[in-house]
Amino acid sequence: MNQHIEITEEDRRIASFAALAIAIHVLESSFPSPVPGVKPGLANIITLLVLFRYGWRFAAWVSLLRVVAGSLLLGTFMTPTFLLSLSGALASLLSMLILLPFSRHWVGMTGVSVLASVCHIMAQLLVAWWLFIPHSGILLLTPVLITAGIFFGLFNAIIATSIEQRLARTV
Amino acid sequence: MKFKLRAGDWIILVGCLCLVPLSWSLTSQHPGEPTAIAITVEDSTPLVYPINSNREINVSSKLGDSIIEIKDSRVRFLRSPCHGKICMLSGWHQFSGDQIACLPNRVSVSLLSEQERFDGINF
Repeated sequence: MNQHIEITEEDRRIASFAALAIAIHVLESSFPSPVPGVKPGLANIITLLVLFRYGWRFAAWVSLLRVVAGSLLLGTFMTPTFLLSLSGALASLLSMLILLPFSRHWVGMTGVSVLASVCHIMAQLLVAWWLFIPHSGILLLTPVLITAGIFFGLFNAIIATSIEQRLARTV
Repeated sequence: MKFKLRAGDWIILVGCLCLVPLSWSLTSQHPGEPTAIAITVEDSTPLVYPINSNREINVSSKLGDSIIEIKDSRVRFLRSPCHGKICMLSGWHQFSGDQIACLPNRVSVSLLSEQERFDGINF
């Protein structure tokens, strides 16, 4: 059987960015966090940069590759952690898709980052409520998690904006 | 570093910030007012008294007689034969779900309400 799969330039680019995001994700998992499961999500900086430079489909590839490969590397593939990570990634990608028509003039990296971050963390809470802790008490975490989502969304947006401005100067 | 926020950015930011107090008010649980107290003596069935009538209840147990006072929708141990008097020192209790216990005497008083109160969450 002789099949020839063509590897395009775009494939290489997606793979490179995904590798970068995976590396950041794995490194970040070694940081301690005050609340289990709440992380800055620094790999999303790559997703943001890629979204604004190459489009949504590209960002979706990088994000989902990062979730799957990162979980394989960390040993959390097909665990509850993986389900939460995947649902968060899907929700944030969906929010990016919704904001896409507005991303030219009305919304910049900051708005996309904050909304995606809040959608990510709320989707994780809802999945956790649905599958793992079906007790209404878990919803008491909502204000805390939304605040964390806004904060880390801003944090990532600042870093991503800074990177993009430096890239724009050199490239 | 230039950091310019566009109109949509502000809308999203303000909108999400407004979600915080909104979600707080929607998810916070309001305990019902206590409607009755239940006095348990040494694993027997609890004696239930409404909280809105002022009275003093005499309870006899292992070490002797205790007096539990209900007044103004609050409850306390007025007198207890125990040595440490922790039950008496804890004073008035008025929140539903609260409990006062006199462990040496095996007497406990808990405040009941129609709606259960959820008072803590941890991992």
